[in-house]
Amino acid sequence: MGTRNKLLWAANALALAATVTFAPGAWALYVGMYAIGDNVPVASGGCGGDDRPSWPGMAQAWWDEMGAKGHYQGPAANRYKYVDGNMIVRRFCDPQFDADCRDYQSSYPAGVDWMDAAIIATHGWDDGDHWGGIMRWPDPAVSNECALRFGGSSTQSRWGDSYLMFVIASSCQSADDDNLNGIRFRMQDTATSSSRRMHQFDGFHGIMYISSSFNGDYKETAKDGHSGSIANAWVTNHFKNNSVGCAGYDPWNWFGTCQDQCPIAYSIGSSGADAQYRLLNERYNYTFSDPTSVNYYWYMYYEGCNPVGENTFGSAD
Amino acid sequence: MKRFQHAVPVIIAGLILAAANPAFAQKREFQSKEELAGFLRERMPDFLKSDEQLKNLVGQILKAPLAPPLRETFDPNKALKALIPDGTSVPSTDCRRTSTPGGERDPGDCTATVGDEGGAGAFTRFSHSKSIGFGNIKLIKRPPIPPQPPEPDKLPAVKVTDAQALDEALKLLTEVLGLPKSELPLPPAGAKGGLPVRSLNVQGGEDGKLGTPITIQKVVFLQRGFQLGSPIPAGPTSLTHIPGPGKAMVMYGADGLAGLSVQGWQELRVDPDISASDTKSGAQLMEEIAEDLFNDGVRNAADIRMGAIVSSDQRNQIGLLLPAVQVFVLPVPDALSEDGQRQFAGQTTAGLIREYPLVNRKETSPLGRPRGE
Repeated sequence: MGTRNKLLWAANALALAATVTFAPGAWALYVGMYAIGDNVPVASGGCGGDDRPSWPGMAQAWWDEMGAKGHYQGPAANRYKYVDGNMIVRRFCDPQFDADCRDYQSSYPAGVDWMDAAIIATHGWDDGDHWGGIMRWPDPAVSNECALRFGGSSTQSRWGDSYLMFVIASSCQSADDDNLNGIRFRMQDTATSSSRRMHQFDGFHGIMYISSSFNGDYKETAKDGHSGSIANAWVTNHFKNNSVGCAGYDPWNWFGTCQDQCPIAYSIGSSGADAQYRLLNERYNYTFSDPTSVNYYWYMYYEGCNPVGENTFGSAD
Repeated sequence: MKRFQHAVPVIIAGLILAAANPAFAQKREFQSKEELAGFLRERMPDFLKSDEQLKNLVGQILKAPLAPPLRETFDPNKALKALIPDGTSVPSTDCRRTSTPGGERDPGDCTATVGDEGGAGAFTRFSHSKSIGFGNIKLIKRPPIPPQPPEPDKLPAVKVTDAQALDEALKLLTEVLGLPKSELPLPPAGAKGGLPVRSLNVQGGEDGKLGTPITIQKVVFLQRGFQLGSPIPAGPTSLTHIPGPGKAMVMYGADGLAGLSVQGWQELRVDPDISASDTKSGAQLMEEIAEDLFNDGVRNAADIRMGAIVSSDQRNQIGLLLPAVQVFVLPVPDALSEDGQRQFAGQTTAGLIREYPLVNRKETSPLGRPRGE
């Protein structure tokens, strides 16, 4: 968090006083969305993946509600809503990884670390000890890379050293149980800043699902993330209890054929107490200062969550 | 012939990948709508395949008894008194606006709050749809932020058992909020899936070493359902109830009720223009699903699962009951090993959920655009 936010807070406080009031110590967040619903086939020079046309709408439901709550969505010439188009890894990767990476960029197209809170929606997978997310086009300036990689041993994407505090990864396997220890390493980039760090990363263990009927879940996440903790808002609104992929004869899971959608909320801190405190209390309208280290992490999840594509959360792989 | 020649290297590559990794072998690729339709045929449950069974299913759904709607059974003042008993809540002035500028029913919420949403203190928000036919009711209770982080293992754990949570949730939903018991099917004794109650946990880690998980909430999940007049044979068992629009969640923390959410519990009416004779044939249904999925870009699936549901054609705050099939497209197999997961790098992974009506709808007159009440 820097001077940019404090000046904007002063301006927004005046502008928004009639509709939304932020508590002292809170300010309007810069919010961005990055969503791919129209993938480009490999045969056409793209990175592949099946289309999911409803996906950008899900992400936008969160982004719109954040705007309705008074957060900043970008100037008229550069709204921080990026859908399809030239979605390449340069917007997400860190210049420490490759000098052509632009995650810090403010001008169009703004990079993810320019935002305070962002949602990223794309096909994802467990890339070993970290999350991988498909891009739309290979990035010619970054070795034709087709994937965003975040966490663990990957040094490609490192967020929080500019402004980013909160990320929602609407992406399969973005927070698989076996990769949780490594997420924290990329919630900072000490080569750029020794004091700035991300606060929270929210994603999924196993696969997640696309449907326009889930737009409300994303809207409610933004809304509830102001009334209560972001972590609780995320897991409560996105947990699908034994209701996905059921056998046709078992819509109620009375025969145990159904599976879950497993959201995970993850916070870091300089101690266990600090990380737990942030997880349980931090809100979009009540943010804490940046954590002073990534040594500890706490996460929120539904016990026994059993998704498609992964084992039951917490079980040995 | 030319297309086949170009396809050969792709097929060979696919076979090589499949041989190297059995998980990958479970993934099917569709070059045409017909191939996708073929896979659908393999995966479709028998009771959705035959024309006669489809017609019977639709007939049963259309005759399923509908309980009185929330418009008749939900009393917002009674609910408010029960959930915020000290009477300190402040309703939003927006509650008085029940229509949109276009003259339709306002789908938004009426909200009452206690405390400052933006502050560090306790905060409670109770909201319900202004037109309750839209079917949304929510309670959020936020405790005050402690001035200092407490010791992590001192976090109070919830004490209520799953069975207690379920009992209390049912009382709350039916007696306080007016949800009908008849539309809350419960698992029979000995159900393999257990009770519809889950534990929300938090857990900490340091350098990969994990602490003891703490259960901070017991959450009851209930899906709205409609009882069929006669059970429908379905595979190894019979379907007695069909899921419909509406979900309810009730959360219990260490201090008792921590929140609740009723989502989309629409007021439903049977469409007088639909009867079992409007049921689509199995072939028509298959064709429609395959065409829609293929044209929307589905080219890969490891599995496709389907089930019957009650959907609705929403007309303002009223939903016209619509027998439908819900389709889940699963691009990856279940329970993948870590090596198996890596094989899906750069591939399609997100599942897809769609609904398709089981009946042909009559077109409304061009002069009579349907309106809700």
